Amino acid sequence: MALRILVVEDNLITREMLKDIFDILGHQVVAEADDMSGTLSAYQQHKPDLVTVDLSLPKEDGLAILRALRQAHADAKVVVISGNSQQRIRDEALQAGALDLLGKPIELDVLKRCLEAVAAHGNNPSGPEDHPPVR
Amino acid sequence: MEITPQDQKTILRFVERGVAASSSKLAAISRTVWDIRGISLEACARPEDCAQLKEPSESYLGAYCQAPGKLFLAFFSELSAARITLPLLSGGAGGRLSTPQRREAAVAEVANIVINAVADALAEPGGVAVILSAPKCVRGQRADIIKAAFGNLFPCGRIFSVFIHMASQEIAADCTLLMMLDDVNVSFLLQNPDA
Repeated sequence: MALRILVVEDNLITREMLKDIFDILGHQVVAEADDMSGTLSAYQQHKPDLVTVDLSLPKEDGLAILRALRQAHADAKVVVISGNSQQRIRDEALQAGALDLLGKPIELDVLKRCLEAVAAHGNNPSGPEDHPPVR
Repeated sequence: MEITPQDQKTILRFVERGVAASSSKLAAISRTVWDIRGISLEACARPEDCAQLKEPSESYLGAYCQAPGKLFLAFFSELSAARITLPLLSGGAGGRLSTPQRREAAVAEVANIVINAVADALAEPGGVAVILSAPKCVRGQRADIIKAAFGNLFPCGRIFSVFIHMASQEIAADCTLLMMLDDVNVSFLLQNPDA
């Protein structure tokens, strides 16, 4: 299943790299954002299958965006992609409804497995809260 | 706040853990091996007092991330920045940007990854979850970059600075990490010395 993805990332190089990787893996980036309002409006407009969120962003941090998104759209599937790998942050992200937290630099195999799990997840009506983390 | 030699050892032990993770991530990004050449700790009142900043300086590309009472900077000489970011940029990412903009964005991302590895290692024993600010990229001499990053982050008290120097012989590149912590953050770190 090809996923339609919203990328929330402020660094232009990383955004481009993610787009290239998703493209190679057969998925499509349908929108990009780097703050909460942009994320919420892009989600409303595109209803993506998956949202990837960085944690360190210029305005709100990724956890705040994750919580706001899941509050507005309880079925939103979100994977955090960050250089931050603190256990407490990981726990908070999963508790807030993230499917997984993937570390940077991005490892293609890890990302691929995660996307495959998310794609399989799409058929599960119970939503992401019963399945963290997906890998 | 004064720190004892034992406290210094504890802080450096936590830092070493982070630096090991940091050099591994740098290796993954640049696709080459990185060695840790040195780690040193000093306490000073202002960033310009730090002995390490008084060495002759060339032009650097740097990026910094902050959290309350913490400042993390990563510096790369222009040549090192070009060599380290080559794998990131060789695929043509950010083709809409000018070459300097692409390099700055790539340096910011490399710094983000390398800095977070060290910040993570310091957050765990301190018992706090820390999300650093998005990295800001700056170009210039090291002392000027530090002054710009320093801003009003540390209104008073002593600053504990840790310098970390890493290098890759294979691509003739180097990276200097500087982290500055205030008294409060150092106290948190020393609360759990056996972590």
